[in-house]
Amino acid sequence: MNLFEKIKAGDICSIARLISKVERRDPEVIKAIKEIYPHCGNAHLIGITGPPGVGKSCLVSELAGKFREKNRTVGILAVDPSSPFSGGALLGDRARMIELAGDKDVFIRSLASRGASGGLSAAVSDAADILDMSGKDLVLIETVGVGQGEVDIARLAHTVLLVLMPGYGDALQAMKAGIMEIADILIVNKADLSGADEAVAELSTVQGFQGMREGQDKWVAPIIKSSTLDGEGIEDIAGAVLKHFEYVKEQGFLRKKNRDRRTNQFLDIFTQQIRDEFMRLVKVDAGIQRWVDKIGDLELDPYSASEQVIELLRNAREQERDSRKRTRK
Amino acid sequence: MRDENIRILVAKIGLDGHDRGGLIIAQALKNAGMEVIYTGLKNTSENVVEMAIQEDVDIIGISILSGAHLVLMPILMDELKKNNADDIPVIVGGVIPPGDIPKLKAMNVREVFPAGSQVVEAVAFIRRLVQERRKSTRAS
Ligand SMILES: Nc1nc2c(ncn2[C@@H]2O[C@H](COP(=O)(O)OP(=O)(O)OP(=O)(O)O)[C@@H](O)[C@H]2O)c(=O)[nH]1
Ligand SMILES: [Mg+2]
Repeated sequence: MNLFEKIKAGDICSIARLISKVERRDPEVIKAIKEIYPHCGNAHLIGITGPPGVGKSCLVSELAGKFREKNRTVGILAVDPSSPFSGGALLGDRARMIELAGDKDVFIRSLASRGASGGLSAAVSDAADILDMSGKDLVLIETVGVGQGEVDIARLAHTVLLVLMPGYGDALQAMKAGIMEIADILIVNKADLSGADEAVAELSTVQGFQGMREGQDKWVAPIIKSSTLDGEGIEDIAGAVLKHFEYVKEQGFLRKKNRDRRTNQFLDIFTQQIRDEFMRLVKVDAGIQRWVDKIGDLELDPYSASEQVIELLRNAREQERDSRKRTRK
Repeated sequence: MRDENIRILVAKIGLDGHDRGGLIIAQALKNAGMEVIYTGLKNTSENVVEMAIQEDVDIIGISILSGAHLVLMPILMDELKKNNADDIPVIVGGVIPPGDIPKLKAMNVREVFPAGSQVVEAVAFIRRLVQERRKSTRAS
């Protein structure tokens, strides 16, 4: 069996190693991703985000358990921030998921955010693809909600859970506007503590002010109280997650979501590769080197420089179109 | 690319119920630039091996305070072998009497850091070990 077949067969070791390669941005991994890509698109990607310490990891564990009861296979990606100083990271999420241990149909992987400050690294999307292809029905992605992270997870996941806890009403105000908009399910966890009902009331007030979601999307995010201590609300959340996916499919949004995600992914890859290729060219091509130096010497402004390159791309496209027209005639 | 990003699983096996030591070590390794998968309490050997494989770690660091290392470590090393994961190096830290160190090394534990060891020593050892291992495995 080659690597591809092994992953398709769910071989744990191969999945784990490929995710590591994806994290290192190992050049040979690009080859593997190209092979994997056409086989993706079967998994339901679920983002779980929210402020630190609200109980996301515990909730992921409980939800995964619930989905296993429903005979769904589960992949989990738990993302924690890397220290900008040391580059190190303390990945402690799976310590909360011990109950899932020993289940061959659950694969858990902790990822450090590495270069992606605040947001999700490209590796997270690739890792989700790998789990998708390995046959996981659901992929749960836990990210700490700080700024960019929420926007990124909304782009990646089909269903986004925003987890809060009593006393987090103020935090919600402080969070970026639009955070409510990305949440498909709102959760007030630690409902065993006092103040949960107030938190729910506060959330529904904020939700009332928000008005309709973008476009045709009429989904109203349910607000669910939960406790991972006594299991309150877990069944409801699992139900809401599955219901949301059905809704997304029925309304024809799934295709749009997937297209948006892949367009963004392409743009990320494209801009990165353009940068890399350009830096390489500058090193080996004296003409381009001189052209770039003009920007530094204030002879050419960076906007015009960029426009010149885009103009080149545009011309190339026109030429290609013309030549195709000619061959058709 | 900075080839650091060493991934280490820090686990405590055994039944004694606190883990301040493990968390302090985990924090120190993080500050040394490593990605530390911290697994908390209540780990069985099976769990540790499963986690090490899924996390594709470069090395496993086991913390034992209970004094049961001569019972627990053979079980862990066996479990690694059973799962074809005995290529992952293992180091041990905790309350280990000097006389037990050779016994642990005879089980293929790479190094032992008894209570009172300096973290910098452990960091240097881990870096060296991981670099050697990466050279051999990634070349193949
Ligand atoms: N009372 C109560 N405590 C909870 C509940 N869920 C989680 N906790 C506790 O909250 C703390 C944080 O839980 P985690 O699941 O690690 O929270 P998290 O959001 O994943 O944290 P980060 O990943 O660090 O952002 C732990 O001490 C849990 O035991 C709950 O439903 N009720
Ligand atoms: Mg967590």
